[in-house]
Order: sequence, then structure tokens, then C-alpha cells
Amino acid sequence: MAKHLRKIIQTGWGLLTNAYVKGFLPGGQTLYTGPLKHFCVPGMNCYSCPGALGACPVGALQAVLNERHRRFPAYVFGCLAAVGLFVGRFICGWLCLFGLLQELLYMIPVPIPKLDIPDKIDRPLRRLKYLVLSVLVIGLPLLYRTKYGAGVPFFCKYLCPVGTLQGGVFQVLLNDTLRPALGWLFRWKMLLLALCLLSSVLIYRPFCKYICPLGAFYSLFQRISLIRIRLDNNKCVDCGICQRVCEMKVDPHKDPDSAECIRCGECMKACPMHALSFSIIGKHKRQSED
Amino acid sequence: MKDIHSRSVFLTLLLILAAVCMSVLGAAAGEAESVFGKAAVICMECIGIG
Ligand code: SF4
Ligand code: SF4
Repeated sequence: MAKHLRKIIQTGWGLLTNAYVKGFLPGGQTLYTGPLKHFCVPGMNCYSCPGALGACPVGALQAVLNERHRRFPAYVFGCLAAVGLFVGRFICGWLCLFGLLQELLYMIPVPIPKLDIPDKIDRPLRRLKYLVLSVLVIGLPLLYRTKYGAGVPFFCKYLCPVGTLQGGVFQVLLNDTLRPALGWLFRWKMLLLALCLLSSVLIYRPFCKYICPLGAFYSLFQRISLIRIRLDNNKCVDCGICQRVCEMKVDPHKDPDSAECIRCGECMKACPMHALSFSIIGKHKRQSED
Repeated sequence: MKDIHSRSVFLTLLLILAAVCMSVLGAAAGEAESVFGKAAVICMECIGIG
């Protein structure tokens, strides 16, 4: 049970936040429209998913920036910043359904070795998610207007595989009225979704590592968040096991506050000396050596 | 060392409080309604129709 605790929590949270069963009934074309839709869930979760009970934070951010009368998105930004300041990317490791899906796909055995992207390609690619956040989620939705004055949620429209899967695929399957409207955009988004899912079989969480704007946003708070990973340097024997088990390619005994760490806790489970733990005391080796 | 640490925890708590206040003010200014307005109908861009 404890071994699978994270998977149980990820699954439970995913089901809980998509528990509007009526939305999945064929032909219904209904979304949940109760009061919970005022609130953003902390992970990626398309609000057009037939079962969604809450709003997607990345979609919500673009929706506010898209408004005719531009204003600072204080509500969405404040919610996201509060979560990031509290737990950082812990959300990615424990409460994001799309993160879970990628992990499950990576567990599929394949006859070829899983891909280990070389550092000199991996490192620059990891910066891509910050570009996605600043250009597609913030910059263009804020600045661009169509000739009718409407804003465009660029990330949702042209890139987001979460929306294509949770919203697009389900809605198109359930509602035949939507099918005649499908065109190049849908095919483009399906292609991106297929690429994302297929690459997840070979690469651990490729969307999270390289594209996700929400992971990029939370990562900005990793070094100051209240809950962090603590290394007890009295216990650590520098064996490097934590680094070897980390699928996000973090070395927690050198940099426990890394922007790439999703705080999944796998390194803690693997450490034979129990030197790593979650703590609100963000103290770590380098500091305590001072 | 301990001082630096408790100062950083205090600073983070202060920032969390500021973020919560910001979201409450944003919600009071009607932003939560905008979010609801978008989230309660099928988003054509999200599903790839346009
Ligand atoms: S990086 Fe994005 S998709 Fe991945 S777990 Fe975090 S929020 Fe979810
Ligand atoms: S450093 Fe540890 S907690 Fe962070 S992603 Fe790697 S295994 Fe997970």
C-alpha cells in the first residue's frame, strides 16, 4: 500500500476532480456548471472534460488575459502563486492527472531501451516550457486581438494535448453534432497528442520536462516554497543512489530544490540511509555545512 | 544559520499571505466569474475546433 501511495493519490485525485459522471453519458453535451467551476484545480485538467468539476488553471489564466478590458489576472495568479509557494512542483508529482498518464505509459515494457536524452540536448529543451509559459500562455493571449477584438488562448488552441485528450477526444466521441466541425486544427492537435503519448512510452514525462507551462510556473517557487526536500548531511554517505533512481534527472543530494524536481519522493524511498525527507525546514547540506 | 532559516520561512509565509489576498481581491473584482464563464461551456479552442 505505502509503496503505491503516490499512484493511489494521483488516481484518486484525478477521479475526484473529474467526477461529473453525467457529462460522460452519450449525447448529453453537458458540462458541470456548478459553483466549483469558479475554482482552479492545481494540476493540468481541461475544463471541457465531460467530468471536470473545476477549472484548468492554465486555461483560466489565458481566459482572463483574453478579456477585452485587460487586467492583471490577480485571482488566478494569486491562487497559483499560493500553491507554488506552499509546495512547489509537489503538485506535478502527486496531483496531476496528465503527469500520472505519462508515468503509466512509461511503465509499458518495450523491446528497445528507454530513451536517455543526452544532457546537451536535454538541458536546452527543458527551457522550452518557460518559453511556452511566457509566449503562448501570457504574452500572446494578453497582446493579440482578432479583428473582432477577441483574444485567443494560444496554448489551449494550438498546443495543449491535455485539452485534446480530456476535452477533444471525449467531446467528439460523445457528441455527433461536433463532428462535422472538425478540421485541420483538430488533426494538428491530435498529431501533437499522439506524439506526446507515444514519446511518453520511451521518455519519462516528456510533456512535464519540456512543454508544460504549469510545471514551469510552479518551478519558479521551488527554492522558496514552504515544503521542500531536506537532506540530512549527517546521514548522507554520497552513494549517489538518489540521483540514479531519479527519472527527472535531478541530483537531490546536490540540489534538492532543483526546478526540475517534481517532489515525487522516489529518491527518498531509494536512499538506504534515509537521508532525504519532505520538510518545511528547507535546510540542506550546503547550508548546514556553513 | 537558524536565524536565516526562520527568516526565509517567515518570508515565504508572508508571500503566501500576499498571494491569497491577491486572489481574494481578484475574485472580488469579478475575475472568478470570468473563469466560471469560460469553464462552464465547452471551449472550442481546447477541443481543437476553433
Ligand atoms: S509538469 Fe504539467 S503536466 Fe506535468 S505534472 Fe506538472 S502540471 Fe502536470
Ligand atoms: S529528486 Fe527525488 S523527489 Fe525530485 S523528482 Fe527526483 S526522485 Fe522525485
